Amino acid sequence: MRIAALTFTLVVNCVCGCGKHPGDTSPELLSPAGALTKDTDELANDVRQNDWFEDVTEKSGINFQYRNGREGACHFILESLGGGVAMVDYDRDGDLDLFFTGGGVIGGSPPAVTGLPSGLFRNDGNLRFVDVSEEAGFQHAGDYSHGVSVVDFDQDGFPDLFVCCYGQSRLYRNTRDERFQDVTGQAGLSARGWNTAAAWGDIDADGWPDLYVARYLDWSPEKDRPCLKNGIRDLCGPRSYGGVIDCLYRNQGNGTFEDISQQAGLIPGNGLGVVAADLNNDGRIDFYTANDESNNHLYLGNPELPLTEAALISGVATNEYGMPDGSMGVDVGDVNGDGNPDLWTTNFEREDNGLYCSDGNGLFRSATLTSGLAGHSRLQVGFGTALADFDGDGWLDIFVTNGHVFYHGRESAYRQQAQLFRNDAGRFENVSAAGGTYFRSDHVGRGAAIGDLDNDGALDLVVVHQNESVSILRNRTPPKHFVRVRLQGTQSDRDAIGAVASIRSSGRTLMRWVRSGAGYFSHSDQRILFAVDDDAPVDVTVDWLGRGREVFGNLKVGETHELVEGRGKSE
Amino acid sequence: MTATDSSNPKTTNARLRVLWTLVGVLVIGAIATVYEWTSRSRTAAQVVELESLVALHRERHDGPAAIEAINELLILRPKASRWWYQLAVEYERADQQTSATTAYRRALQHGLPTTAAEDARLRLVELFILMGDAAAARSELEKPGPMFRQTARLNVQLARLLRMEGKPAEALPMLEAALVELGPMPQAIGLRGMLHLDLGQYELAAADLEFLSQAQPNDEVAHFKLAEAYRHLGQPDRARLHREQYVRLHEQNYGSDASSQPLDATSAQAQ
Repeated sequence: MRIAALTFTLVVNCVCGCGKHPGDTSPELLSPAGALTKDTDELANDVRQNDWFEDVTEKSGINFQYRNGREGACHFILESLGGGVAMVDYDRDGDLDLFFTGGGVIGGSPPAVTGLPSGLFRNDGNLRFVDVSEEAGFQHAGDYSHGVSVVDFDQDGFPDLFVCCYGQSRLYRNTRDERFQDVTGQAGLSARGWNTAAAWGDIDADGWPDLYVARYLDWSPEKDRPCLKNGIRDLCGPRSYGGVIDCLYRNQGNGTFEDISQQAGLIPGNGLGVVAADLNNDGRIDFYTANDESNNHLYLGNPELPLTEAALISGVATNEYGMPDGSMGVDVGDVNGDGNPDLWTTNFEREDNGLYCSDGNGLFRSATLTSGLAGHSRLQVGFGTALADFDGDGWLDIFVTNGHVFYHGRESAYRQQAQLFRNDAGRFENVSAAGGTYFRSDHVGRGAAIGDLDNDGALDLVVVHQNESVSILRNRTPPKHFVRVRLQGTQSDRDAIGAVASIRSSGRTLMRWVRSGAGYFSHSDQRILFAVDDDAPVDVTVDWLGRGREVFGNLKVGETHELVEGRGKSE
Repeated sequence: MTATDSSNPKTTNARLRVLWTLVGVLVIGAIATVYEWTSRSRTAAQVVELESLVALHRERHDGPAAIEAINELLILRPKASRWWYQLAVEYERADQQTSATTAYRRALQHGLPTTAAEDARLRLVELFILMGDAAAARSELEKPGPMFRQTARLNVQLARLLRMEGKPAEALPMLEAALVELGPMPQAIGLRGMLHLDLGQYELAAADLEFLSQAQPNDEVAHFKLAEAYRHLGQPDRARLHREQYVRLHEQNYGSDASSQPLDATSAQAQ
């Protein structure tokens, strides 16, 4: 179906479409749709003994591409954003399945934007996946899609999906029989416009997760402006169009949502990344949004609406010189081991990716320079990202996938290498060269998710690209000992978004946040993985969002434990 | 008759052939000489013409045209280090950092006078720092050759490089050394303030950044960093004051909606 749609678009465009600029001789435009696949250069086969990751895409059985509609040669800014991936155990069999947004096609006269179907792949173990998209109800294309978010919005114990689109975004309810049902209409979710990413969090502490939707620009094909790069037709940047206000929907607990964007006091931006977590340790959910070429926003939760926008005061609106960055991806985690939630953003070229370290009281300090992260990203355009302990030493490392938005960038290439930074007690070292074959070849990276796909205790990666097959990267260095927990709220929302789990290991307290959103357009494994020193049972402390602390003692190492709110020992 | 008799027609023909060959060689040589001479004259004239053109484009602040003219010049004079240097300067002005580094390197490769060579190397270091390439910047600094004479400028660059590498404690003495030579230069004092901020020395940071903001009241970065210093010093009123000044200056520089203002040099160019 996807191939047929693409072929049709190509034919239409040949007859009456946007047209290829004479100077644009990119292989993607010259080759048939879908022909551009993964790099097959010699680097791809250069496997090294100490590589952190192994590219297992081919043997995984997944050959899925996000399509951005470039074939139409319309050069719409819509093409620049890309898609995402969700790691979600939709059938609740204990392993992570993968959901990919499909993007869309652009073309015709006048140019029109249409969607392509998303893909759902069931994990059958040993990193083998089976395409179950049609059986699960994703055979039909919705609108042109970008991000995906996962939550159990109806609290029935089965994870549901929210897909962000240009046009109408969609809420898919998991019907508990390995299928999904589009319930957007009956949920009362208008969610129209250019929606990019979503995060969930219980803003009113009623136990039901509410929905925050990041939105990008006031753009439509009719408003499109032609732009040039180096004399060649290319995409326009975001400043060619106006920003828009994000949306906030209150979950009414009966399967419906109420639009409370206005009461929430949201302000205009160019939203791409969004993360929900308690960022000032006050027991309420907060939202941090990464805006493209405008100030990032930090919405702090209050007992009543509106939320308080405090990015500038808190020190997370701009880069360390007071200039807004072109921010894309975002994540939260304790990178320096002080127990506070630090923020991380991936940014445009000529900018450093941004690390903001929290002092615990809602104030942040730019730590990009002092942590050794400056400079590495100035020739890259960063998108998907994650703070995660890839090497099992207890410190959160950083993964970034890169790729330009302009087809004809002046200073750096369209296809770029992903990056990996190892955290050594709060200072970072660029270890991309040891990342694996994937890291030594060029891609146009966008969304990325992390999670333990083979349940071996090591965090694997899934990366989405523009018009190129997704990549599945197996972490080659599982820790000797680990304990994994999944938090389940009872008073809190079932996904326990905003809760914090911690353990003591090697004389340190390791803290991990249950966040929603994060990364870029993607949803990572919500289970929390701790690498531990030995096989002695461990105690895990959980701070439920605004609902006190519990200790779950004597947890056996090497296993996954369900920690249910109210069943631990209160502190 | 002998074999060498000049009246022998065979001998005469041979002599004539030699003579004509010699004449031919001489004529070809003369033509080649004249051609070379005229070519040189023409090239020299072209060079003079292009040099004037470069000067004209510069006068008119037409960077792209100046770059084009210098590139044409370099086709005629590919080893002219002076023009490689000029090309690098123009690329820098046009914010084309990668091209500028290539041109500076070509200038150095073809030999520049010592002072210009030192300047080119320092410019290279500065560009590599801007581009975030710490390894290339360090490699340029550590290349063998005469020591930089402009020690203060070198130390400032080293301080910036060390800061980018996340080593503010090592950067500080470099900058102090530069300041001894430079005196209280506001930008250098401001950089020291940022190093103090990096090191969590907020009082020292505030003092340096106050100096910068008083010397350059319209420096929005100074106010932004001062707000940060006072915020950490627990002086919210002062922090608010400088934050407001930063916002006012930022809006002044980029418009009232700072969230939609251009900062990206590669931003879209509407047709």
